[in-house]
Amino acid sequence: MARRATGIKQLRSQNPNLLLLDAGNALTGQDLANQSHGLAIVEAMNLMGYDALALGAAELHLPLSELRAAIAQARFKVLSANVATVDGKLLVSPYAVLEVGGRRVGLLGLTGTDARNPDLTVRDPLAAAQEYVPRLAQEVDLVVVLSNAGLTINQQIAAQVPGIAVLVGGGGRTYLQQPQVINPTRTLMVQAGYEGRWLGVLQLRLDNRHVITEQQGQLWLLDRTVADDPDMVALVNRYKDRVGRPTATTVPPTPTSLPVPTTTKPQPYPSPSPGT
Amino acid sequence: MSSKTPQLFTVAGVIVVILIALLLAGGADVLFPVPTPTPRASATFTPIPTRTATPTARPIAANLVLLHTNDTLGYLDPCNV
Repeated sequence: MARRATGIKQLRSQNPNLLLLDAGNALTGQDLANQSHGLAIVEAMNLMGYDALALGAAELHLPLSELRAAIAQARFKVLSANVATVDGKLLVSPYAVLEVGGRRVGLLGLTGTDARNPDLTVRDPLAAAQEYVPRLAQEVDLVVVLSNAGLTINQQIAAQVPGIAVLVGGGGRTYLQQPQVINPTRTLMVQAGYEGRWLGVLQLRLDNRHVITEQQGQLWLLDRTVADDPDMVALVNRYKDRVGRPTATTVPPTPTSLPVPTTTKPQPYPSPSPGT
Repeated sequence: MSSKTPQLFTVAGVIVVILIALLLAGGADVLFPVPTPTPRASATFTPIPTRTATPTARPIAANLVLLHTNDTLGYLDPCNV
């Protein structure tokens, strides 16, 4: 986390037109996170300046009251278009619209159906995307979907739902070394691994019509060559003092039925055609 | 038999003695070495992408940058890489 914070600070200094996004499964899974009921992660994400998080299995792992408390502390958008309470109402906003560099970027959250909570229901993410993406696309210049439905379902969403410029994927121990172009929609799909080992960096060049004309995506391995951010180290130490030193690593709540580690070969980004 | 026959027997005997000595010393592998198997590529997939020392090694004239994470699973400590 401290290395991630360093990387984010560095990249922010290089480009102010930046969004920091998490596709989900962030708030629980390790002792400090679990013992703080997700609040340690929320505070860390606040410190790093996250813009949005999609609800995933690791969020729904919290009891509903604790999840609501964690969401209340978040200074970033917590999104899901397919998680509802027993009365059928969405738990959080399905999407958010942020303005970056003079563009209106719509962020839609989708939750994988592996997420379990006795007080919540999770609807098919593909159906939710088909409902919300066209609606969101009318409001914004660019639609970005955050989805932890897993690589295969995310590829289906990207292929079957037109209007998604970028799908930030999650769900499973999977990464995409470089952005994958999903046809026929030409949606860009990215996924940055697991356990915070990598930071995904997707640079986009958009024309005046907000069409992606050039892209470059990389995964930054946050190894020992990246210095720890002192502010994040202080935050972590505060939580360690508050909730005690972790005794053992707990099993992450992510199910085991998700895809095995996978990579895809880089694919060229096709030239945009008029009207897209 | 020619006059050279005893010499041939002697040479053959020396060779047999040397072979027996080699067999006793190092086993059959000395005389009939088994080729060392070529190590095969590990079937276990190591999910470590190519290291990217600097994330802007080949920068483009980007006017929007998306930084993204997923499945960080509550890791707070300095990274476990």
